[in-house]
Amino acid sequence: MSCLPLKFWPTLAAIELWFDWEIDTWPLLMALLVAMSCGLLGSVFLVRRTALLGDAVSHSVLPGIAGGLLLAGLVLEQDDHVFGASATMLFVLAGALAAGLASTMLIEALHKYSRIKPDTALGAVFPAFFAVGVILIRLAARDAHFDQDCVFYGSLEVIGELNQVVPTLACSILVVLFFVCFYKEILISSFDSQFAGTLGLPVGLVNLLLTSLLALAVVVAFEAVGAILVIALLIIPPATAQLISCRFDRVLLLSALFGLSAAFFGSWMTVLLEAVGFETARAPTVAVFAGLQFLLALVFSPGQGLLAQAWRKRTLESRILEENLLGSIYRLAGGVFNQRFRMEEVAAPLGYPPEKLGSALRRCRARGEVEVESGAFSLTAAGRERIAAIIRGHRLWESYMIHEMGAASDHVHDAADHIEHHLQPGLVKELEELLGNPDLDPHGSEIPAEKETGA
Amino acid sequence: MSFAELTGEFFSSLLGRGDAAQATISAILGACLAGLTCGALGSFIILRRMSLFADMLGHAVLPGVAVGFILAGSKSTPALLLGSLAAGLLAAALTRAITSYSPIKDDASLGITLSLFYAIGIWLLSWITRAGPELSSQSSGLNHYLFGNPAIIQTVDLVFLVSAAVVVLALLCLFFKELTASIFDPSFTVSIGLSPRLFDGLLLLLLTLVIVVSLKILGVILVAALLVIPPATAYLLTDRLGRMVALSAFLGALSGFGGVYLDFVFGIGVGPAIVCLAFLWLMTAFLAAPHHGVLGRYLLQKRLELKTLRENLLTSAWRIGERGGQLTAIPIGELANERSEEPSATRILARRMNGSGWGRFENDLLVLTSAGQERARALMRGHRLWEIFLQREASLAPDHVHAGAEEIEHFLDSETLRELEALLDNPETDPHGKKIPPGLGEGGSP
Repeated sequence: MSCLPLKFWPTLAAIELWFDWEIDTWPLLMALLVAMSCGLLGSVFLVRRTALLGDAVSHSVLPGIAGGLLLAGLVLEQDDHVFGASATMLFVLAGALAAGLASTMLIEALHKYSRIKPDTALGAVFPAFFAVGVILIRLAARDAHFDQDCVFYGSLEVIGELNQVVPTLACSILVVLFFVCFYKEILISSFDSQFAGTLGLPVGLVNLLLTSLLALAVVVAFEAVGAILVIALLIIPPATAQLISCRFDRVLLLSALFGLSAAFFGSWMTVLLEAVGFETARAPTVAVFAGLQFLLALVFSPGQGLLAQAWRKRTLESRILEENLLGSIYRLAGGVFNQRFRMEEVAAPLGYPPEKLGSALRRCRARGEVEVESGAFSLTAAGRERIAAIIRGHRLWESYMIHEMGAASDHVHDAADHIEHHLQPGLVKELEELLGNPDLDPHGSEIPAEKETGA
Repeated sequence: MSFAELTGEFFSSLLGRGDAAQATISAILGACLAGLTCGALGSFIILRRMSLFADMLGHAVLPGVAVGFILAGSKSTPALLLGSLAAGLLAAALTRAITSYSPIKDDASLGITLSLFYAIGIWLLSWITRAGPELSSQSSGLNHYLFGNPAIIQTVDLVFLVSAAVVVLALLCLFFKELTASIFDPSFTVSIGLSPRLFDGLLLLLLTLVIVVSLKILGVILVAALLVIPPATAYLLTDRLGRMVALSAFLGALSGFGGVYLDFVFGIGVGPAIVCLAFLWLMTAFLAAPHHGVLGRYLLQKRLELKTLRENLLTSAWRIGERGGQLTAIPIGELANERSEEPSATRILARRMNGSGWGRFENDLLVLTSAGQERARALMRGHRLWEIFLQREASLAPDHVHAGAEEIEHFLDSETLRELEALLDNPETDPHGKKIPPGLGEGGSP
């Protein structure tokens, strides 16, 4: 193996020690490069909402690859390398580019010149191209030593020398260069292609380069991960990144990172699983690991994850309960704040069963907003201050609905009940100025002044 | 063997006995049934805009096949079917969950589920083929679920295919009206007390069922093709849903039969052959379908262009006649003058009048028949009435109404003209002061 020089690289040695894994340099490098370039390219297509174009291109380059192989077999002398840096690779690349472009044009033509819808055109063209590819592959496999299984499983394992990694390396460098040189153009044309056009940016060129690079990446990934698994690397790491961040630059970086980590840990997982007698192919393991990352992000992402969403919902619900509890006491007290009320009395106007307010009461007590004495409770100064702000918003909103939106005075309470929990202080201030600092709400109740401490 | 010999052998094997003939007949039955069912259901799928969803489901049942195999320890058909059914439904649920609970859009979530499930399936298969002898010895042929291979069709598979076909067709017939409504007018469906989501659920169930039973024939990657391509072809050929379903079922079955035949003769694999054949029909329809094909629309456009060109000559002739000339035979020079173009250009145009029934080009004269004069009158009437309409009702300036009228004059029928005239209180002159020819039973296009 020619991975000896890298063995002396101290970082690599440290990693090997840490993961207790004798790294096979070339398959790992191949997986890393493929995953990184797919991650970068895929995120552009994802934010452009054309994520399935990767799906289509990965299926439809197959006839190009097979046709290139067949043609190379006819034209060239016996060539040992089916893939890798060889003359055959040039044929395969040209065929794949042609097939990729032809399929995108055919999809476009089908829905432009007939009444077939775009999704149906997509769903009709790429399986058809794939079917042609499968037929050509069978023909190619008859006389070339071409492994049919690598269409599905990829064959990361058999990559044994630098020569086989060179095309992938070149492609990755091209992809990175493309992003470095055209970052601004890609960013603007992805989010507002008309604006990009008015700025005089080469939108058409950028799009053509993107599609060509996608076809290129799919072809060099073909031997490593197979024709279909590459979709996983094109869609899943970018989607994972999108769950973490909304900024384009971060999505790009994170997506490349998630691709790299899927390649690294997926390869490692293969070795680990093999050690416990669960021997699998490496490419699908990488793809499954990418999926695992996605599912983890879907649940645990700090901003968008299911847990974060559930937590936000829970916090909001308990805040609303607390505010309803305090509000009910405030209204019952009617300005005489040393009165005490029992739980049943407080819950009744809200239409809640009393036990529903138990946890809210505990939290308000802990915060010193409610005082309890022999089973009945009243608002403290802190509680009054908190709820006065809410009531203020509620009553100002009612006035606003009547004066500015022309709502009837008996139709505004429910709406205000909902919105009172979401009104920001700045908005309340604006409402007050707009309405000319009213003292009473439409029902004749007093609107608490700002910073009212209650008297 | 030559092509003709193989063809002969194929058809004689249909009549013959023995294992080989049996296998061919099973393959044909299986492929036709799969094509028929996929085609019929697919019409609803593509109209409901679920084409890519079907594609996703096709890929996503793969882990179900693998898990079914691992749990059953053999390629028992019911186990694999149950496994893939479960995987398909799980994938549908995951797609829905991703779109509902995350900022990821629906197309991307389809792609995620597709590739994730497919990857898991391939991962498990790669393990099965490398696992100990008790699994891997059983696993030969599991790869057929990737590409499909009707040669491995057994009686039990046919039983499942027939039952699925019966269930699908019966449910489609039973709920035809409701499905039609839920596809074309979801709000109407709600208003008659039905939930469109109910029918989406029904379609999802049928879709998974059809995919699962067709898997052995087409394989996970190509199965969706048969759900999309024949219906798309039928969609180009007819405007009625009932006919579309029947046509697409027929095309599906035809592709199934043809695919088995092509594989028998050329050995290219049944699944890919079926899909290529189906795609061939689609391309043919795309080019040559009477109304919705590229060629048909091109011819229609050409006819329209010719009609417009002829009618423009007629209106020019009318204008000359109006200024005191006669309308039966107009010298080309005068016509060219009126149209501000070279006489040679006008001659070329005038020649195209031949065969219209409105007039012909003769001795450097445009000779108009009475039908042609009648049509010219109707065109001018429409043109000028429309100009008044634009001026009065759309408040356009008198010098801005000509272009609009020039375009619409070719499309106004006598009914519309009468209505226009009544609406405008039978005007006598147009905004430019020209006389509006009275209506005399306007001659339409010949």
